[in-house]
Amino acid sequence: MAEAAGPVDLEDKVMTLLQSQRYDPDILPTLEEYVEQQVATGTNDAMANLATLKLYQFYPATYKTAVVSKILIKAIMALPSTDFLCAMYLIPAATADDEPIPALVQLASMLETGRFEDFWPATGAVRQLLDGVPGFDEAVRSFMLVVIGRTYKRVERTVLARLLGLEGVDEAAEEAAVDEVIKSVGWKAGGEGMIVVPGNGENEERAKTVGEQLTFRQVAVKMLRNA
Amino acid sequence: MSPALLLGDDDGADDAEGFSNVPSKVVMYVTMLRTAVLAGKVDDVHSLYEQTFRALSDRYFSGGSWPEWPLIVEAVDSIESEEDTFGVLYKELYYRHLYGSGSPTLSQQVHSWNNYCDLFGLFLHDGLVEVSLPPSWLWDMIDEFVYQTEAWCAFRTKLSKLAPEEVEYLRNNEDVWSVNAVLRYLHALVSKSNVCPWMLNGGLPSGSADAAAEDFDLSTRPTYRYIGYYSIVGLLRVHTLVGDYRLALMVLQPLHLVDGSVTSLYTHVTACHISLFYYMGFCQCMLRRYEDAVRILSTTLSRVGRLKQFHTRSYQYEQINKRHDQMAALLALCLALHPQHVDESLMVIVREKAGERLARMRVGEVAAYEDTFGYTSPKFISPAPPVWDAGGDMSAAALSQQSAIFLRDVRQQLQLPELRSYLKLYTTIGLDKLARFMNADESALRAHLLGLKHKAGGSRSAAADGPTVAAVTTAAASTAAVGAAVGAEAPAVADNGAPPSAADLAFYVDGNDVHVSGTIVETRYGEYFMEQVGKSAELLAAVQRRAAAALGPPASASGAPSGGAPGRLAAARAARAA
Repeated sequence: MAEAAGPVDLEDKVMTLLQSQRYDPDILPTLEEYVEQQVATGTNDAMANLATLKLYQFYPATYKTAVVSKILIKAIMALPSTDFLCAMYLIPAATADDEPIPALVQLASMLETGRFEDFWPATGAVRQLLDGVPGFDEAVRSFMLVVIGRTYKRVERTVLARLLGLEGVDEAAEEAAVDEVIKSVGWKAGGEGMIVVPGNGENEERAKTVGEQLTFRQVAVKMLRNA
Repeated sequence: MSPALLLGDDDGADDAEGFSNVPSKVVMYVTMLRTAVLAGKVDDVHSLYEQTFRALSDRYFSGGSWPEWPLIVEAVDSIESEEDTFGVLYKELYYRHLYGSGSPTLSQQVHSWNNYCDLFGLFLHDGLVEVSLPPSWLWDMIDEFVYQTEAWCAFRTKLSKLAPEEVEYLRNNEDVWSVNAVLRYLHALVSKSNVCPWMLNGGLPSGSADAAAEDFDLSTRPTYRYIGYYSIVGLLRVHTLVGDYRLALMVLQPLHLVDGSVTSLYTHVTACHISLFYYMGFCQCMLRRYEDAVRILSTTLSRVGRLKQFHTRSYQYEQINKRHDQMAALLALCLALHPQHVDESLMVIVREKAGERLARMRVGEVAAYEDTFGYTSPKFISPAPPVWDAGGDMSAAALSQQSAIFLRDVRQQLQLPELRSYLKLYTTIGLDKLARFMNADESALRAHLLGLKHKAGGSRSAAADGPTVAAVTTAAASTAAVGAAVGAEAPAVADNGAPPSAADLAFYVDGNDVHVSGTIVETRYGEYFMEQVGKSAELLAAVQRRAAAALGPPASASGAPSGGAPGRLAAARAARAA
C-alpha cells in the first residue's frame, strides 16, 4: 500500500496514527517505514521517532536494532537539540549494549563535549552505517559551526579546518572546502589566517548588567486578573 | 445530621458490633456519603471525604481494611444491590485505604484494577454526569491510580518474592495494570472531559450545560472538568515514570503554564500543585533545561514552604514534606550542574536540606550526583513485563537505567566547573596559559570551551519561555487569594525570576585569547510590584465591601454587625505590610 503513497501522505498518516493509536504496536510497521523515509529524504521527525522507541520499550519483542540505530543517527544530526538524550532514556539497558549503539553513543558524546577533532577519526568504526544516511557529515558540520560560532569571535583557519574534519593532504582542496563552508554560514576571511565570525550575542562582549524586562502580556495577565 | 456528629466521642451503643459486623457509625457514614454524592451536595461530600473518612479509618480500621462492599450492601438499608453506582466509589476508597495500610495481595491489586476500570468506565459512559465530587477526591483518584500502577510494576519485578502460581497468573494476564492501558484511560478521561477546549476558551465551556442538548458540553460539570485536568497531570507523571520526559512536558501544553494561564485548576488541591511542578522540574532537569528547572523549583519551593503550615494535620502532610525536601535536593542538583544566581532565601532552604550534597556535587563527586539523583527521582517503572523465566529481582532496573544515562550526561560536564572557576579570575587569558592551569593540551582545552558553550546553550527551552515565571507566580497569587484572608498572609515571594540568561559568566575566544565578562544580574522588582498592586486592589475591594455592608440597608443582615472594626484591622495590617 505504501508504494503508491508519497512522502507527505505517509507523514499525514503517521500524524493521524499517533493521535489515535499512539500505544498500539500494530502501527509500528508504518512508523518504521516513516523512519526509512526520513533517512531517504533528509527530514527529521523526532516526536514520531520517540513514539517508535516508546513502543519498542513497551513491547520488547518488536525491538529492531537497525531501526533504533537509524533513529539515533538522525538524533545526532539534530544536535544541539536533545533528541539523542531523549532517545537514550527510552532504550532499555538490555538492548543498549548491542552494536552499533555504543559506538553511536560515543560519537554523540564527543560532539556534546566539544571534542570535534576526535570525532572525525572515530566515525571510522561505523562509517558504512553513516554513509547509509545522506547528509550526515553536513548535518554534524553545521552543528559544529553553530557551537564554534558561539565560542569564537575569530578563529584560525587551520584550527577550523581541523575541527570540521576538512584537513586534507592537498592544501588547495582544503582551502576550497573551508571557503565553501564559511561562505555558507556567512563568515569572512580576515587577516593573519583568521576567519571572522559575525557577532551573535554569544561571541562578543556582554552587557555588564542584565536588567529587567517585562512583556506587555506578563503585566496584562496579572493586572486583568486583579481588576 | 451533620458530619461532625459522626466524629463525636459519644461512645454508646454504636461501638457495639452492629449488623454484619459493620459498626453503626460506619453504616451511618456510608449512608450519608452516598446520599450526599447522589444528590450532588459537593460541600457535604467534601467534609465527609476529607475529615470523617480519615477519622473513622483511624478509629475502626487502622491496620485493617474497611468492610467489603457486599457487607456494606447488607448493612446499609438504602443500598439495594451490589450494582449501586456508589459501589465503585466506595470500593475506590476501600482499596486506597488498603494500599495505604500495608502491601496488598495480588488478588487485591487485581480487584482494585477492575474497580478502576469500572470507575473510569462510569466517567466515560456519562454515568457520573449528575454526580458532584470534590476536587480533592478527584485528585486523589488519579494520584492513587498512578501510585497503584507504580506499586504493580514494582510488585511484578520482584520475581524472587513471587509464588509460582502468582508468576503464572501475571504471565497470563499482562493486560491487568498494563501501563499502556493506564495511559489510554488517562487520555480517554482528558478527551471525554472536554477540559482542553474549556481551557482554550479561557475557562468557559463552549457548549451547552443542558445534558439533553445537542451540544452538551461535559466541561460544564466541575467533576468532569477536574478529572480531565488531573488526568493531564497523571499523564505527565506516567510519561515521566517511563522516561519519556519530552512527551511528559508536551502533554502540559494545554495548561498554558507558560503564558499566564487563566485556568489554574491545579492550585485548588495543594498535593496536585506540588506534584505538577515537581514532575515538571524533574523533566526539565533530565532534558538539561536547568534554568527552566531552577525557575520552576524556586517558585514552587517557596510556595510550599508557606503552604505546609496549613496541612500539618492532613494525611498529605508527610507527602508534602517529602516532596519539599526532594525538590530542594533537585534544585541543588541543577545549581551544581548550572551555577546561577538564585535568591538568598532559597539558598537557605537548599543549604539546610541539601547543603552537603551540593558541596560534594560542586567538587565533581559523581557518587554525590548518583545519590542525589536516586533521592530526588520518582519511582521509575519498566512498562514492559519482566522476563518471567529469568527470575531474580529486577525492581531496580528502571532506576538504574535512567540513572546511568543521566550520569553519563553529568560526567560530560564534570570538568566545566573547574574551567569556569579559572575563567572567573580573568578578563582576558591566553589559551596556552589556561591549558596549563587545566592540565590539558590546547586542543583538549578548545574542546572544553566548545563543550561549555554547547551545554550552557541548552539550559533553557527556546524562545518565549520567559513568562513561565509569570505563570507560576500568578498562580501563586491566586491561590493565596483563595487560601487566606487579605492581609493575613506572608509577604509576597521575593522575586527570583531569571533574566534573559541567568548564567553568571560569559566568554568568547578571539584567536588565541579567551575574553571573559562577568555579568551582574539586577534585582527584578516588576513582579513584586505587580503582586503588591494586586494585593492593594483586593484589600481596597474588601474594605469597600465591608463598608458598604456596614452602612448599607440591612438587606445583607448577616454581614452588617461585623462592619468597621475588621475593616480597620485589615487596613492597619496592610499598612504594616507595605
